[in-house]
Amino acid sequence: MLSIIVFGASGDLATKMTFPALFALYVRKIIPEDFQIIGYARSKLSQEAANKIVTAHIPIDDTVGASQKALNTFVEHYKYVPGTYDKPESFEMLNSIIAEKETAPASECTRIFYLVLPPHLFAPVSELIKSKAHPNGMVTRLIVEKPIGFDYKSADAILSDLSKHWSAKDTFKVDHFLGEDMIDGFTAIRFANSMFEPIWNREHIESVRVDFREDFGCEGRGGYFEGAGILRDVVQNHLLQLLTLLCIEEPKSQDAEDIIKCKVDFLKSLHPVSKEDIVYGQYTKSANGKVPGYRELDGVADDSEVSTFCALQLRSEAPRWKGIPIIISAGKGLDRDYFEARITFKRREGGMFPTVDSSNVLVLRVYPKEFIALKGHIKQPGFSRQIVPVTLDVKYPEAFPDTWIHKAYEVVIADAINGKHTHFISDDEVRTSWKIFDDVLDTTGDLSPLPYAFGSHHGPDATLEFFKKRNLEWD
Amino acid sequence: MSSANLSIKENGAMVVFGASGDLSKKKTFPALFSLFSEGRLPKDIRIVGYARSKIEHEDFLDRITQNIKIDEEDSQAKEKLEEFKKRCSYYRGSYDKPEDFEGLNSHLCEREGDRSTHNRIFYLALPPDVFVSVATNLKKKCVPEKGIARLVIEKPFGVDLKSAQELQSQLAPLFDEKEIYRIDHYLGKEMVQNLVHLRFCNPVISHLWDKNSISSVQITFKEPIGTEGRGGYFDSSTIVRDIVQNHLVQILTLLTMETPTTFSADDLRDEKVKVLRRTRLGDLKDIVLGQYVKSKDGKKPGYLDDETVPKGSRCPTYSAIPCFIDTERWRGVPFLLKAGKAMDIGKVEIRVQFKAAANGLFKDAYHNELVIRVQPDEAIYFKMNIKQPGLSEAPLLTDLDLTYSRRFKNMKLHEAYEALFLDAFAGDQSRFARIDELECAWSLVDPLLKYMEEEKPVPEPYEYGSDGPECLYSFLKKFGYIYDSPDYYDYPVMSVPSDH
Repeated sequence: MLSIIVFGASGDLATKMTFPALFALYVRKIIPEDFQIIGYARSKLSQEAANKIVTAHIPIDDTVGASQKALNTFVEHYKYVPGTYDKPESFEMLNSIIAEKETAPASECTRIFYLVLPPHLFAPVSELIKSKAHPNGMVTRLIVEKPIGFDYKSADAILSDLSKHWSAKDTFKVDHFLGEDMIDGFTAIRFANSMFEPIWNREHIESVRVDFREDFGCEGRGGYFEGAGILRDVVQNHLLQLLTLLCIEEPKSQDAEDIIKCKVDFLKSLHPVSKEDIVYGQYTKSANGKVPGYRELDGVADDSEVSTFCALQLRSEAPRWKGIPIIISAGKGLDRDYFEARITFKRREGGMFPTVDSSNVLVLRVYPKEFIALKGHIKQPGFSRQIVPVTLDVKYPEAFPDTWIHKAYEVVIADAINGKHTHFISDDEVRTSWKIFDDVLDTTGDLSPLPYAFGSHHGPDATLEFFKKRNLEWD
Repeated sequence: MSSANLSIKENGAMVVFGASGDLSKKKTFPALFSLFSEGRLPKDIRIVGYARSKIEHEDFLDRITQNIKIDEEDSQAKEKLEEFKKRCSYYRGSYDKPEDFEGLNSHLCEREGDRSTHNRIFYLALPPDVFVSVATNLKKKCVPEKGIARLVIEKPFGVDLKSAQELQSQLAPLFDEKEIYRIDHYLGKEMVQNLVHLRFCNPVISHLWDKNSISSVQITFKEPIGTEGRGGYFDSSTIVRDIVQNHLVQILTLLTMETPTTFSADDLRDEKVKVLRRTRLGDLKDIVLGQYVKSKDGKKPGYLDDETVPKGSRCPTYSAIPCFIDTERWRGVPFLLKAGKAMDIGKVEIRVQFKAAANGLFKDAYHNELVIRVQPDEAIYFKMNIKQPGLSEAPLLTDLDLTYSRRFKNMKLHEAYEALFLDAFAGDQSRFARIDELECAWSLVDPLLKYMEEEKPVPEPYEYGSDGPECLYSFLKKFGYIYDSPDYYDYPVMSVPSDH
């Protein structure tokens, strides 16, 4: 019997991400037939109301093998339990409710507690789970969602508290980006293709960057975002992780431990980001006046200094990367919506085409519409001998039309069910990644975000200067 | 730049020798019309077809236009064709009598009208044994006093090193090297032209382009047809002469040469010659020679079934030849030149296989390859590994692909001959073979030609429509090529294996 207990079950994230992923795994039979799902939150909801919340964002048409019948059966395995996050008796009650369905011996049961909660609740909830809902002899796992903490100090405190009650083996810290199919495949792209090995270094690479751009803003999320900002919401949370996968040394094996060790080694090679290496921005209303600026949103302070855009350079002391720019850029309210990693190779010096900008770029597009592309140059077809840029690519929707590319959450939850840590992050990673950004988390004073209009191409104008100073281009 | 390399923009005339032949009808005149209709030939161009056959003017016009395809509804194209016909004429003559060349000169002057300058291109689509005779007479009778003269010669140039050198020693006193344009029409192929750009404009490729990264290279030429009825010609000009020495060696040089100093014709060809001088055959005993027998279904005849083929002929219709280049960059890398007739498909392709990663994290990963498809369906692609989409972590072989027809939808790829004729008028010799290139190319294959002549090795049989002789696979294996594509892989279409 598998029991999955979702804390924060009435919240936005659980509704939009967690339950659709669980349903997809159910349809794919990753979740065993003998299962129950319990949603737990403070809201007092009837089972009927809770069922509506669970099914609200499950797109049957988008899920391979799904049907209304399957969804109905799925819901029959769901039970909603209202309760507090701080009272022991609530957790005793929860334990009783879980146990009602667990007719098999403890050794044949698994409980997965999924905390889709703000980080300050991680410690008290995990402690109460351990003391009240953790029967002896049963496999129990704790999944916590990023962000973990607010800065290094708070993250360290949370991790220390968690480790008092939960071993690293039983704890799964989610960065759902690591479940994105393209990102999941970074290691294979990098290490399964021998042709990249001779050129994957500072001698041949001019820059490595991760670009995350959204053409929408923070409507409806202002309250949450106000307490986070772009650096915490996306950069420290997610983008640093996948940048790491592009830059690590080759792990000894595909075991999670070996991969994580290499990731931590790379993270530790990075200098803390300084003020000179980062640009922050905050969007104002769009040029046509139709879209409100960030400060005009509900839940946002009139004088908010929270950033909705940043571009930063990382500096690594690793022999492979020392001296080349490693760039992360992320922004909301821009003019395009995509997420990709981009490795630019150095131009050749001299040669028979000396005046041509003949750099190559390897692009790994995470979304929309996953692709891998190598941008290069060929002779223009026809009589001409002009050089034209061209792209060699594999577009996943075209190359794999019948393949169901799993949503990120499906991958990470499946791994937690199977006890695999590959797509999760370790405590070392969390601590080290916060250290990198600790000096630039306070976006006031020197780091006050600069304004840019919603729909802007490059965020604040200072971005262009930032890139120019590093001999790079925004596009 | 000497006047020899000036572009001919006016006062132009072209004489097509061998004008009654197939090449002329199928390739030469369609290419000339295409250039003419696009306004790329000198505006006052006159074209004269010359051959020994007696052909009436109207018949000649019919003959040269029957392979020119234009839309019946396209009145503009029709007008162009009528204008083109007015520029064309036929002159009958021998290849050895001076008076016939005097007559040709008179005919040219008549067609050219009142010009003070005459720029003439003489295109010899002729057997090599008459090159010298024609060139001698042209020099004496048809080279203009004032103007440019160019000799465009169709390959093959000789039948071996000795005959090529002899031929050259007779041509050299007549025409300067800068006046001679030796055609290898493969150098006019879009993808062959592109090799230089691909290598030198893309740092990813140029950094990988050496023995440390590359384990083997195959250059493959396949024709899906046999010699049907042309075996007599074929037997005296074997697959090695006809294709390997003619075409594949040229591709090999562009693939392996060092960076030219500039894009000029001579700098480019200097580098080709340098690399050719360091190129040698592998052991003769390793060479695979094949001869096709009838097809599995019995419908296609074997080579020896061709009535024009001498009985008991041992002429190979397939060859796979290992070459090595003794330079620091390429030492130890086998370059496998493969060519065959009566095969499963028509294809010309370059396949560069990269070495496997040492002690790799993904031990079951497939070898990377860069494939350049010269024809059909021009394309460039890398074979690479990705994670299989979905929950699986197994490597999956896929392509980073550029297929020209998909990417350049408005593209019109010109026939190779169009590009080369245009170059001849422009005075650009980059895509024509220089004499020292040819001598090196013949030097390369001469040991094999002698071996075949003296030892008369028995070619391995292979069925018409097959992939070549059975021993090809052990040949490839011996030279380090790894066949590791999974069953589901089939460029460019693939279906993904199940996750489970």
